[in-house]
Amino acid sequence: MEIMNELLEKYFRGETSVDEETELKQYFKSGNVSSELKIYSSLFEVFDSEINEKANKPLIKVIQNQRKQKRIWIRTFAYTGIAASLTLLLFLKFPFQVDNYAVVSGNKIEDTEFAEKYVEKKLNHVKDMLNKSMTPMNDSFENLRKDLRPMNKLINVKVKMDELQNLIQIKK
Amino acid sequence: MTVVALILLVTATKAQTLQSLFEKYSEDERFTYVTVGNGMMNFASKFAGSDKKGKEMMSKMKSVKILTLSDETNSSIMKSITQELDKVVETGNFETAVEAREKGERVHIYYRLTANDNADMLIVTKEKNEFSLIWISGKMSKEEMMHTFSNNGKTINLFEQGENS
Repeated sequence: MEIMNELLEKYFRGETSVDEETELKQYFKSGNVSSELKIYSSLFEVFDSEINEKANKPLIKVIQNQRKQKRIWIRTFAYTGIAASLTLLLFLKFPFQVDNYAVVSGNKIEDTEFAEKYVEKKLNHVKDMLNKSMTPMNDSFENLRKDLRPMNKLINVKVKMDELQNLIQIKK
Repeated sequence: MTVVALILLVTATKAQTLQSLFEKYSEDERFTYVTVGNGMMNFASKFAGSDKKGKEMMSKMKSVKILTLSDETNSSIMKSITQELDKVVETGNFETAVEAREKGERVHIYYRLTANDNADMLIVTKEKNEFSLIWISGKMSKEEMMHTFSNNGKTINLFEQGENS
């Protein structure tokens, strides 16, 4: 475990080699992680899930889009410049108070992607937990809705009866 | 004028209480603290996927802050943060929006309106060895915030149209 501690410290200092990083990833993937280091598991899980991500568009389409973008580059240059200036002005006037970062065991990780992935993972987890606990209730409502179908027919019968009664009264 | 100043002071105090809770524990090495504020639009499109309404609602979020503690349920740190959180919820005018329990897992969602139509949503999840506090703020109504966590915006309707024929 001491070796892993040293490796982690090196990792956060950005001094680890590729082999050492692989060793770290394998350690956290093994599931046999010491309780003290468990807190870092989510960090390496996120990196793992990133590997499995695939591109949304085929490469050919991306290249075609890039060519189109080159053609309109000059036209958009001016707009981009204006937009950038405005953004800079806004930033200077209203500096952002919230940054995207994570603090894991006292180590600040200024990585927007990591922070976003973490938040996304957590929110999806909440969504799953809610859906899971709401399933029995939704099922009950579905059954109740089915049971209430004859009631809907009764309501229709009552409406027809009222109409008939009105007609009889008018004729009288 | 004095009343307005007092309201502003009270609102600021409430925000500080929740803020101070996050600030206090974000410094603690036992916690994982993550904050996302800039580029929420980018994040919103990722989270909402193809759901247009969901994307629109997510884009109204201004920031998401998460505090996570991985420890035993009955540990002293878990007890102290739970107690402090209860006080924040009580004094911060939060109303309970959702309370769900499933096999040892608990989700509590609290909601409150703050100044200028801004709202805070506080999600507390308690699992076996993990406690998470998620603070979402933005210009959203309770319904809009809840849509973010609904199953594609599905709602329960007992008397569905077109089925009574």
